[in-house]
Amino acid sequence: MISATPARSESSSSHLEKDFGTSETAKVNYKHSKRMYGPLNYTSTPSIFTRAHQRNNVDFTGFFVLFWVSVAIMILINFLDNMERTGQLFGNNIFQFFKTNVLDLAKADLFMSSLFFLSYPFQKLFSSGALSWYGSGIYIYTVSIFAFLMHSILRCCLSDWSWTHRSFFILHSILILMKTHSYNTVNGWFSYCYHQVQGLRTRSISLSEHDKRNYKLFEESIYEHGKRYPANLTFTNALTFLFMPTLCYQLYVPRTPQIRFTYLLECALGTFGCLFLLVIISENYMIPILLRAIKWILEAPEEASTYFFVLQLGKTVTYLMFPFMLSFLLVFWVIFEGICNFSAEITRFADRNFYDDWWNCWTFDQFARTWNKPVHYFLFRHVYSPFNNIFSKLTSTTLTFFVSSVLHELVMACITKKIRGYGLFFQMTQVPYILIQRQKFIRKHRLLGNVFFWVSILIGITLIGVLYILY
Amino acid sequence: MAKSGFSPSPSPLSEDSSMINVESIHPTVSLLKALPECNLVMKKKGKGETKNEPVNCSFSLKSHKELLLSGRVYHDYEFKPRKSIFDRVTTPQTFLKNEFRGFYVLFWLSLFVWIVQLYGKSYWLRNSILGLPLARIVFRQFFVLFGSDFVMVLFTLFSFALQWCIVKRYIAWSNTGYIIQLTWQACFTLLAVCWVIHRKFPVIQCLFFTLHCAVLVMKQHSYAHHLGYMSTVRTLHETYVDLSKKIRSSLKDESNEAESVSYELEYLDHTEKINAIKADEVVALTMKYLDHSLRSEIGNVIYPNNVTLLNYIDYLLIPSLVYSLEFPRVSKINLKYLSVKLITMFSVLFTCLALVDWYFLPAAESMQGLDFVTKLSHAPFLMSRILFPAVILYMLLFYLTFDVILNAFAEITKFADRDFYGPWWNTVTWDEFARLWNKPVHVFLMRHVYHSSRQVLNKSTAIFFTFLLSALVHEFVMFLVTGKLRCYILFFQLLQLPLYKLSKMFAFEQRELLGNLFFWVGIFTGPSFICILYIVF
Repeated sequence: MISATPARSESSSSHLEKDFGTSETAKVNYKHSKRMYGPLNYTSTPSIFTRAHQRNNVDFTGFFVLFWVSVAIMILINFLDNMERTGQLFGNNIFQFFKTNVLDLAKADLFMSSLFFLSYPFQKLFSSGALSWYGSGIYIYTVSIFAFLMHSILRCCLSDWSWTHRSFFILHSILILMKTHSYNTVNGWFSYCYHQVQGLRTRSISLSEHDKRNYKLFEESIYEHGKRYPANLTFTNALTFLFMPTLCYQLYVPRTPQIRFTYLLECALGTFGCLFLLVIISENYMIPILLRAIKWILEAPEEASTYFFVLQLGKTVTYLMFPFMLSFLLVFWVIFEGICNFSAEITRFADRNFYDDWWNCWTFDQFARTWNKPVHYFLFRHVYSPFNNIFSKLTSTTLTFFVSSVLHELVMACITKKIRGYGLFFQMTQVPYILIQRQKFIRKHRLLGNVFFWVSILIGITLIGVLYILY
Repeated sequence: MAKSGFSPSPSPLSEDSSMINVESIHPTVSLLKALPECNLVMKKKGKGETKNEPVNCSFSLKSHKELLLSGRVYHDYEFKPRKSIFDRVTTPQTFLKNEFRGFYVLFWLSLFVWIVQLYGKSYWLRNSILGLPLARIVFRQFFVLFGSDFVMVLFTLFSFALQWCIVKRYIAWSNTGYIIQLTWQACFTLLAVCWVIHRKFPVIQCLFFTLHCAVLVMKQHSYAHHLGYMSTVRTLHETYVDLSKKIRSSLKDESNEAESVSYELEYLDHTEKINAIKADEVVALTMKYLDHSLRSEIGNVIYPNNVTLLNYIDYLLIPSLVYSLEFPRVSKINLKYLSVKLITMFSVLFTCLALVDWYFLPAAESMQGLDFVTKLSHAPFLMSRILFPAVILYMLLFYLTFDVILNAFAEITKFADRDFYGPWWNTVTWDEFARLWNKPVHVFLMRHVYHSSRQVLNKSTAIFFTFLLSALVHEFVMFLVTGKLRCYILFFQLLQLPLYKLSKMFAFEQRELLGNLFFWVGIFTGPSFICILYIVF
């Protein structure tokens, strides 16, 4: 944790037993288990912004309220501006933009999500022993997951949807991809353990020490707080996992006692409100500037030097820094406070700690670990740990960053229909940047590190976005 | 620290006096209220032929008790060593533990980037350096402004001179001194206003000069009234010392003369004969209270000793609008802190200059020379363009005045009570806001306007009167600064009173978040909006 009041502190969990229930795993120490795909240490806790915990003596919640009031007033001001210029409230009839092709998108999305449910009978094959996971299972699985990914990419790129529909579709596909991967690999491992246990049990007389330890390990793997391996392979279980805001499959997750419908409504309203804000911001602040920049570039004289293009880039980035920053914060809010909390409430998922306080960090690896915890846990469990068994820590970190960059690049390529590699490049430069940030100087001057972090975010996000759009 | 020479002497007159509050040497209200309300009459029978012609001296204990009670007003605010909120929160140890420090960093960083952007845009789009024309206007008549400002400060020495004369007993405070001070304050204000109008200062200079004048008037008022009260207490104290001497000498004197002196307590309905010892006790008690009143809260300074030029100049520099015999001090000046504050002051001033130049000047210029109806049609769009910068400007100016400038002055004078503002961003009702956002003025209004008027008016009338006075002063300043008598600020400020009743109806104290939301909407439609109104209409 970056701050001094981490998620699992006393004050956070004590008030909320009524709403959040308790987790049986809260007191278990997972550090020393050697098994693969060890379950995550979930605790029943709300997210940071909804947490009612001890702050300093002076409360700054007023400024938080100010932020939302300013955003609301900004929207009103935009309406006034639009009235002045075009006589209508909404400028370019942006909502028409959303309505086209919605049915097509819905059908494609539904089809893709239901592909997840193929894993359920697939895993049944392994639990019944018809196929073995570490034998032919892996090959079949790799081919099918690859086919799934290709299907999504092609469906996305070959359609005539707008960029908003494409981005929704590809992001949802990657999400389903990660869930499917987790579901299959974890259950595959469980099937292996299960059959090993069966095998060892039949030979109970002649067991060596090594075998005895293995037996214990395998048996522990498939049992977790009352949930046992083959019993978890049900359709309901797969359905709940699909809707839970977590990307790592495990047998036991802490649940809250009931669904609070008012909170559900609040999350939904917040999500739609923020999406509306994002639309207005992008329409009023970003699109005019981008259109103007594109016009300048297209109408550039023949002998325009690179300096001209770099200047255009620089000017556009400067104008767009604030809208992009605001959009970033709002997108963060929409995903991690709106959507994640909504799905957690519906599935009664208790651990709402979807992000730590990433705004306080001073190195980029801290940022990567804290701003998006579901994806962090997934990468840690399914990418980093397998690599760590073979390579050194630094290599596996770099490889994990590489995988993450490739996936981000894929998403950007599908959204913009351009293969440019900016995302890959910038994200990989984070690795040497992290090495610099870990030097003693920054570690001693964390505030300075934080300032540099914010500068990088401010410039970086805008730069990458503008590069993709303009060039 | 309190000198221990004044230990409480038990007296049968009131049990409370034996349990004097040892934490403060000043008598509490309950102790003062326990004093007798009567006249002490001392009848001295003459010797010899004039045996039957008594010589009476009467001391009105009741009026003296009322005097002491009225002096409790000067203890309604206690100066304690404390830091202002942002200073407390940004000390390195506490800051690093704060969970949302990243957003604080983001705010200042964004502000910096925004201003740099504005400078860039101004250079490339408007071909001018941002803020330069405005700065030229501000620095016009620079020397005249500071010269007249300095002269104004010198004029305030009149109040000091008056108090010095009162100490030397050339003038008495009650009535003479009071009227002189009142006339002087009126003349002072009038002189300043005339000077401002005569020199036709531009907006920012006018604002600076007028506000400085208001601050000096408040300081002089507080100084004069506090020390005037002290002088009355001192004269009374001296008479009591004489009286006490007489009583005690007549006690020691065991000749016949002793029996010729008799003491009486003359109440409204009856008269009570008392002996010399009891009379002595009564006198001693009141004398002790008077003596304590002449001391500072902390206890190191006694009344006439503080009326020096150095003390007065120090008081003029201290960021407090109420006078106190002794302010809490820090042990030494922290130069690093002072230099940080000075640098912040200049940066924030630059920021404000840039914002005003980029957003407000074009708006003001576009509204010049238009007639009322056109202005009305253009107004919403104009306001939408400058509402945000107006709110940010308001918050920056708040930070500049109350956290940077006042702290800088406090550091220079080693003044320890830095609590210049409370957390007004969390407030739910407007009266709470008024009490929290500007504590020096709040303390002044509470002590010299509200409590003093409470002696004549009842509670709600006194509150209304205080609000009215504050609104009138604000309106007057706006009138001087903008040259337009429009009464927007008077109207909005008086609107706070019914708004307060309304917020009580909606029970905002219980629904804090909702109340805070309304409060912020009010800020957006309040101070900045009023300034925009002044600019536009």
